[in-house]
Amino acid sequence: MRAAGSVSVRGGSGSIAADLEQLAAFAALLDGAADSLARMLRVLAHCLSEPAMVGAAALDPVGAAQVAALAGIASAGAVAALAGCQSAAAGLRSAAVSYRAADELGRRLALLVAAGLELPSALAPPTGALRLPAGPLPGSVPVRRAGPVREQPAGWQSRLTTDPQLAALAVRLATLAGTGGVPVPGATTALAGLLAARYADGTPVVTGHPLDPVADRAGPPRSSADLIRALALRNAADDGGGAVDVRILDGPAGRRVIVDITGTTVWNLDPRRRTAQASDFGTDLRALANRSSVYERGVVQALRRAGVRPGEPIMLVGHSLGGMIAARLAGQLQAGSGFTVTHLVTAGSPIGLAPIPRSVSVLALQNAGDLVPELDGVDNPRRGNWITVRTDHGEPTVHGRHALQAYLAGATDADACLDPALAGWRRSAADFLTADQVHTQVFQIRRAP
Amino acid sequence: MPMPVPSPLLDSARLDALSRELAGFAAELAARRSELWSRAGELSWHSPAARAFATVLHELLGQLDRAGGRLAELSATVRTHRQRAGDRAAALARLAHSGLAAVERVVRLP
Repeated sequence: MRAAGSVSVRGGSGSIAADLEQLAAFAALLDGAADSLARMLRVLAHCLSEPAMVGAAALDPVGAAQVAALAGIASAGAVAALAGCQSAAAGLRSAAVSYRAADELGRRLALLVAAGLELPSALAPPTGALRLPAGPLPGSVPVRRAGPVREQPAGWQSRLTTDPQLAALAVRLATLAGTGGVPVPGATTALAGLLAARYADGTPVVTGHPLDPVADRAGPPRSSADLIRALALRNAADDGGGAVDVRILDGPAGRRVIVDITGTTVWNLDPRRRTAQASDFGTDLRALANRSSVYERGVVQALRRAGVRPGEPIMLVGHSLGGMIAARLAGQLQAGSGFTVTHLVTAGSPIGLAPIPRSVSVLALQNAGDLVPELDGVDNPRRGNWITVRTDHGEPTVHGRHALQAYLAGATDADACLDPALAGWRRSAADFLTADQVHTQVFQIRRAP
Repeated sequence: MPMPVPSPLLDSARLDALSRELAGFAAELAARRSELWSRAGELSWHSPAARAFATVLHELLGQLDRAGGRLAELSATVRTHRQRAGDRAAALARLAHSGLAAVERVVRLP
């Protein structure tokens, strides 16, 4: 470690060490030499045309010729030296800038290594927060905060979630690492597919529950914040994983259906650790790889069991894994299933590569510093039917930025936003947001071996 | 040593000043080169790029050295040129003086 004010750089080929302040000072010396040469060239350029030189040439033409020849040679040498000084100074500054960038990248990579080791546990909700005691579904009760205050976030989490480009950089570097350093379009999904093959998918077992009076008491949704709030309610009450709401709306425009799909509940990084919960890490990988999963098929069964009729407009709403499942279903259900998805709302979901038809109106919420939407390694498409809203809420931790509470605040911002695109989306979703009545059915999707 | 002879063609003071200015530049470049040389030895920079830069710097110091040498040579040449031009001006002045004296003698003949 060097004294304050200087930066040490290590890494790369051939063991690099440089005092960047020294390099900058040396570049300034070269600038000084270049300045001297430039002044000298100005004098040389004018000396031959000076009246004193012209007069002396008439008296001593041979000497004048010698002076002219030498001045030409000196000028050429000075021009070469000037160019050399400027080039060397620029090279030094460029090296210093590169080293500083490399140093910053090194710091970021160190963060990413820490992130890679701790990410799964960081994404899981903090103990006690937003979790409820075990109990059967529907079990919808108001979201409450219980348990101890979350510990101070680790430094890497704070850096990772407050640096707007770091989350995307993390995913892209991880993808590059997985492909041996070769940038491959869609590599993230390919890698996810390779990993997903190690997880057993299974057959969905869908359990229906009675109508949920707690959810219905809130009434039909009136805004995108209401949509996220209902999803948060279901998520908070989901103890067994794979909880899905099918909400039938009745209003002036007829029946509409909203499906709430909750996110990951089991972070089983070891594929040998099988779980009956459909919303596990293996399903995450399958969804990221754009493959069918037990969770997705379970949602289709839930729609049938809830009595959703062919042709009825459906809005799919999902957080995290739920959003990925919803995005896949938006494409799959249009393909001859009889169900008609017209709207898709996702919160913190990597759906940039999902094959979503242009007939589906997409509202994708992405919170600043949330790593999960970056996991596909691509930006969401910019299309007329697809709006991506960037929000900025939540404490600077991986979980805090991904939590539904942060997205609820973001959705409230989106509702208040007067952007014409958002206004257009609200108009297109008006039939879902002006219903008179809502009846919520709750399903739990589990995995049979 | 011939006496300086005023001449409308020769501005000796300006030529002397120019010669001194060029000599000053030569000294300035030598000082710059010397400082670059000594500070380069103190650089704490070890990498393949540093080795490449050392080669470039070596060449650059050579260029500065040659540029300074040519300036010093030019300064000396200007000084010599001023001297020879001065000598020529003095010779012309003497010639003009003797020519005038001859004319004067002819004119004074009865």
